[in-house]
Amino acid sequence: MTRDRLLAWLMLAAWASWLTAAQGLIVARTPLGPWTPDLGILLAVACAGALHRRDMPLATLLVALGRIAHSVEPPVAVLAGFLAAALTVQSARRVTEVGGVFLRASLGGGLALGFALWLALVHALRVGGDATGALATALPQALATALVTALFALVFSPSLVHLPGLTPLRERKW
Amino acid sequence: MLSVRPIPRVEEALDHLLLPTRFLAELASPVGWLQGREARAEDPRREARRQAEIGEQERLESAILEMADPADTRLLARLGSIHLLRAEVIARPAEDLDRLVVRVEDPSIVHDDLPVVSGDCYVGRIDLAATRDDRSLPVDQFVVQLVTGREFRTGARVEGRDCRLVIGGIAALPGLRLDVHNPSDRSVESGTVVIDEPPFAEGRGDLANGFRLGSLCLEAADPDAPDELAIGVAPELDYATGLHQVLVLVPPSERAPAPVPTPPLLEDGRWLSARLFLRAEPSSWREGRKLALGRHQGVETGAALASGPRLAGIVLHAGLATADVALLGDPGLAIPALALYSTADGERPHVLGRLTCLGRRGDTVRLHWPATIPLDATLHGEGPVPARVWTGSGEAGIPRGLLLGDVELPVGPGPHVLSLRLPDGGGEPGELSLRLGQEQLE
Repeated sequence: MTRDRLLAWLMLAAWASWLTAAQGLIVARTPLGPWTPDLGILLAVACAGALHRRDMPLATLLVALGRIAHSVEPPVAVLAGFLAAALTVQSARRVTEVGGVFLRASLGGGLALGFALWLALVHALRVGGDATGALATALPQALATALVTALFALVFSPSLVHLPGLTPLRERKW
Repeated sequence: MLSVRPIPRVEEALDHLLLPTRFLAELASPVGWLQGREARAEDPRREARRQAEIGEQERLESAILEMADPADTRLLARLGSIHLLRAEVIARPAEDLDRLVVRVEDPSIVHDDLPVVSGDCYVGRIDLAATRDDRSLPVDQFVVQLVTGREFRTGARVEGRDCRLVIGGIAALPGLRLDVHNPSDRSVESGTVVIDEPPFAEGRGDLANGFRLGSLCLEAADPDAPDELAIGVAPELDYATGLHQVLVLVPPSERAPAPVPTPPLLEDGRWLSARLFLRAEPSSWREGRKLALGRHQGVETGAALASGPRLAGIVLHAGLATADVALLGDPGLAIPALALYSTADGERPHVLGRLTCLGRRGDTVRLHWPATIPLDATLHGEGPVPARVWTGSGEAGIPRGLLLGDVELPVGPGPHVLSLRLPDGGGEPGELSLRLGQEQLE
């Protein structure tokens, strides 16, 4: 691994942490609450579309670590959620161009919805609660997050892989 | 599967592997500058409220100690020179819910099988063998076997009737009913059941003679077969979550318990100053925070995080260098609680048991209250009764007497949903301190 790429990986970890921290602040300290995009998922989707396939496992892990650093959700559940998101994007990448505007938005929104419901389900089962009830309670907030994430994916997803320091990781077409 | 059913060894390994996330959290400190200034403790109005809450905390403690003392004049006369040794319930082993761990004021006079009571009611007996088996217990802590235990047996009688019986374990009846064995008169179907052990019985069970177990009741074991009735005792205590302070009955032959001065809760030397990484949580349905302390600094899962006399949250998971904290609005958070309400005779505590958070709604937190011991409609009318809610005992890591907030308690059988109004409108807590475990202290 060259020094440039090593630095780029470190920058990806830092950006994942900063974006998740910013997301947490918007959720907790502003009236937007659930109407906040899942910036970690957006970064993962952007990476999955822009990085070489062999770099995806490490990129997904770093973005997941950024989330784990700021969230009280169980790390295993966060890692599993991001792994599922990365596999979904990779599968989509085999059959189509995930850089397309609408597919990018659909992937961002869909994955944010799935990730939110997955975390709500895990939390409910861990505290011995009713899984169906927990999903029903979480659904409106998860839908709000998914919608905003999809809109953000439309507009900002390409920008995320152009964040300072990430250039050595990108494939040329991006 | 690992996400839903955590395996301790895997979680432990992950704690080590995820150690770098501590640096990622520190790396985001500049983002924290956007979150604004923390509440300042030196604000005079805030400080005045804090002092008032500390005063109320002391009154709560006195009321709880008083609640644990017998009030029945016949019982008091019978007790005579029997010593009443105060003991605080500090934990309930998860692997055996029929046991309590209590901390006594004077451990040197505690013997095996001494009876344990609360108010006018019987609780169980000291188990020295189980106490010795649990090597983590310090010398002033003892295991108490509850009367609900499968193998537990104690002699009893029905007051005012010529009926003796043996009580112990849980009956196969709906709700929690104590099991009745070998009644001397099977025609007796109602009445108050009290302890009645022969004098100088092994373990001095007779010291608790006259303490109540509950009311004898005849009920259908199966709702689909209402004619098949079984007998049980409806207890007056909430054995599952409602025991906070108890008394150990010590024979007069022992010396009187040495009084032990109890320092105020916030000055007992078991608090560690704590810092959060960010006052934020990315999941909108959760209310959690990351604590910049971990097991290396003595943090234990289940420890209370306090802001002055108020409970700020509970540690969900203690990692090596960080810890996850659930704030009061986090769905699923369960807290043992007591309420303090005003009556014409002064302030009275009421055992609420375990309250479970259902989530936040505006400035209030919704809590599920099972109301195992409901407020009595004959005393309180239709209610609701304004009350202040505090943490209770029974969970290692959560001390008794931290303020949760104010509620209107509904009267009558539950379950109920309470709307808890958090102090200061539920804003971010100010200076934080974390409760240390006994082991960390040593």
